[in-house]
Amino acid sequence: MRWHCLVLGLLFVPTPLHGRRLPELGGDIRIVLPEPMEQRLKEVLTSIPLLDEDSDGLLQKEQSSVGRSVVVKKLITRANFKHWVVQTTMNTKSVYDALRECLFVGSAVASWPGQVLEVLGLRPDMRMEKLEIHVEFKQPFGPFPELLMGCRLGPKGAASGEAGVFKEASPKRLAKATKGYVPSPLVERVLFVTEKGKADVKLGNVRLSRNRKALVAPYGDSIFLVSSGSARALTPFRWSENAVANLELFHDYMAVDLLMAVHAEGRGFRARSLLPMGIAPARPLPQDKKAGVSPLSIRDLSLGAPSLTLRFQDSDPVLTALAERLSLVLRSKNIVLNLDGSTLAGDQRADLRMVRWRFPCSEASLALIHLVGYWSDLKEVKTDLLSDDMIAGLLSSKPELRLEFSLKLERLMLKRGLVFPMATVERWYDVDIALEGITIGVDGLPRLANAFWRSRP
Amino acid sequence: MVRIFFVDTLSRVIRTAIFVIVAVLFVVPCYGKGSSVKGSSLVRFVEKVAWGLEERASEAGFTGPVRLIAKVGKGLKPRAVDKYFRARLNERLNRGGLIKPVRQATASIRLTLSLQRGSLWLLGELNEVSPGGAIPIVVTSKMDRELQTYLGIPDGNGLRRGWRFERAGELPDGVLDLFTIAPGMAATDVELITLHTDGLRFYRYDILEPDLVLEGGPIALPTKEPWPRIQAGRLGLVDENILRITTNRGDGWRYHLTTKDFKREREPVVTLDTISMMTGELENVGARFIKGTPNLQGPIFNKEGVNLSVKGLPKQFRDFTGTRDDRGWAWVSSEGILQLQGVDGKLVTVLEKAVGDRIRLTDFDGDGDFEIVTTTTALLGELDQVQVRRVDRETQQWRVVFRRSMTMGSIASMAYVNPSDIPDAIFLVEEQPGFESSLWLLETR
Repeated sequence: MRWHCLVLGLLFVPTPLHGRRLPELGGDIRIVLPEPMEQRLKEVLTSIPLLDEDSDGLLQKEQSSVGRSVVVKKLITRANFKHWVVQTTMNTKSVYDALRECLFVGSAVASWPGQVLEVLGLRPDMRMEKLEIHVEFKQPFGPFPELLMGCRLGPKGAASGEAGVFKEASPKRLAKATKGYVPSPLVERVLFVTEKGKADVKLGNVRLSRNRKALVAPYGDSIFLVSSGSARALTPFRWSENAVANLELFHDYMAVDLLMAVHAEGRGFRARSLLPMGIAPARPLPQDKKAGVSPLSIRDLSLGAPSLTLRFQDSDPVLTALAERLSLVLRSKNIVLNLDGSTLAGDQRADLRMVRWRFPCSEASLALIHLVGYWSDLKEVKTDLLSDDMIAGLLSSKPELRLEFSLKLERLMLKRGLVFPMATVERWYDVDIALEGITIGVDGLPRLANAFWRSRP
Repeated sequence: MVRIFFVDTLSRVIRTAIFVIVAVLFVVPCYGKGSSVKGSSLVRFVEKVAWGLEERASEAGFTGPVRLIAKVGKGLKPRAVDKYFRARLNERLNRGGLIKPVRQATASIRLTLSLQRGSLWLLGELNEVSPGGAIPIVVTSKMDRELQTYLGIPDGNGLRRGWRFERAGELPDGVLDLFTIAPGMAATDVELITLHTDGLRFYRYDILEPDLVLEGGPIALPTKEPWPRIQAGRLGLVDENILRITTNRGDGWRYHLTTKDFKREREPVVTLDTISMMTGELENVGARFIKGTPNLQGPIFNKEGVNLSVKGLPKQFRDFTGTRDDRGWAWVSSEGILQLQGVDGKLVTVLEKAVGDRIRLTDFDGDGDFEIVTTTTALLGELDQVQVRRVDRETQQWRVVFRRSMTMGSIASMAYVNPSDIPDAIFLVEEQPGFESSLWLLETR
């Protein structure tokens, strides 16, 4: 009898080792994210009741999302891409209002498509005819479908969550999971927690264990410097003399630190271009350098050494590390760099800004136009950057031409020393391996609408 | 004076006429019926890149030797890019004469190819060709089956997909065969011709908004004699506008799709499709009916009438197809045995159990291996089943990747949906005597 008990005991011992936390039907997802992202995630969560552990009770109660349809049924273009017709599956008036709000700056919603049109000085004529919405531009606007992707066109409140009008909205995976013989535990609630150890979803930069998986955003964040006129006038920012060579040299001084910084983040690499992979496809690397750079020498600053202020967000460890190194490099060039770790705003004056930037869409032309219009130092020179030819190319109906002109614009910004690309850092999430159906949107936020727990991981 | 005026006017008219004819000759093959829009998408891509480089060099006022450096990004095979893309681009640029690729030169062209969001992208720059700095170039192309086969990494890039099998429409009873024509590059609808016991019918099928519309027929076949007890008929395209109709009674006609005329063939030939796995082109081969039976007989001969000498082909068979590039053939014997003959001439019997009369072969999912679509030998009143087997090119091993029972009767015929490209879908006709027939669409998604 004892022997039997021992055998039975041994049989049962390994089970808990392989066991996984499987919630009952209607399980919770626990998320920990930095506060600004958490706020944005709350905006995009729709189909699942959302709870904040720190606040009392329910923030947002949703009805079932089953049966929601895609907002745009058909897009028709006329008059050489000047005239676009949007046919919708939903109430035309509400979609029209949402589109108007999205495309015109000054309305309640500050959307990136509206900002893009403002930079270009375009104000399309919009009208509603029966079940169609007509949008007419004065010049061809090829990437209108991509622009539309940035507008939330669903009805307010209940289904406003999914960004991107062409995204499949009905939770197919959820439906599929429930049709199984043994239904998978569905996600019932989303909880925001502060303790990382308990979280099922958390932003990367911690080591993954055997029971975790990494989900990476479609493209990385770009880290770059935005320089003002005063900064550009100073050595070594005097780009106009030999801009590209100067940039290369400067990059080499920062190389080790860039590598260290992206290593600290977990995923990424130093970059010599603004547009990250995923927005621009793979492109040729710069030619190998023949000679290395001389080591930095620390010396006393001369009297009347020029001084610059660098603004950056010091809550980001990667930016802080890079800012400190940049200060050292500039000191060796007889420039004083004052670090200002306050929060950044597009219109605040600064000699230099170090930015961790997330492009709002994967269409390179719109992403760069948006960037030009965001920072005051770039906005000041936008007429030089965005010539008529450049705008025509960026708004071409051919994707390859748009990308080619985007690369030209990017190169122009680099050549003039307006921006200085430093690194690309992947945005990735550490997710419980049993949690399925989570995707990462182009905005870098997790999408949880179709999520479910696997029955047997 | 009048004579000079007349001659001058005549020469102008002739010049204009020649210009119009040349223009039409250039345009018509591109959009004409019957899909002359064939050819390699790899060659088209190379041409697009070469043309782009030459245009930019020309704008910069550059001509001469350059160093061509081609790198590979994600989703592509480096050796394949070197072998198939770079070598062809070198050859094309040399032929063009403006840019001469050499081993060492001051000017350079740096190109990177990668796969992104289902498209092939080339990003590059021309260095040291202009005082204004590097000139960027971007060329893109949809990653179709051919490009995937040549340059892509098999599997792991999202091209292997799931299967969809759905009803596409209703057809009248008595379907013997069906044939499809893709109208042109831009069109999204397929022209569908069906051979019934009472004649030909013409349909149009919209791929984007699935809808089957009867456009013409029935056009009765010009015969006065009754059909034999066993009815079998085949359709095939001889020329861009000429349809071939063959029956097991020994009839053979050529039907002109534009003039609507029938012309009797003295020695009726059954047209059968073979497919190129590289370019997706279909090519007809010929065989003959054994009169009064649904069986076909060899030899198999190509368009020029040359015997293909298919080893191991039985004396009587029901259907025949193959891949031209690999010289790999597949057939169903008169006993219903499905056999494959590989590159090495080795004969493989895929199934000991008999299969239905019709087979189709294609690379549905673009992984480079082909799939063979078969039916079962259902008796009258029994439900038929569609089966798709993936056949490994090298090992000749196969496995079932899709199986679906029909709802009503048995499969009478099959046809490729897009004959101008490597088809990723086929039509099947389900027949139940006395009832309407159903058209089904089998595709990957």
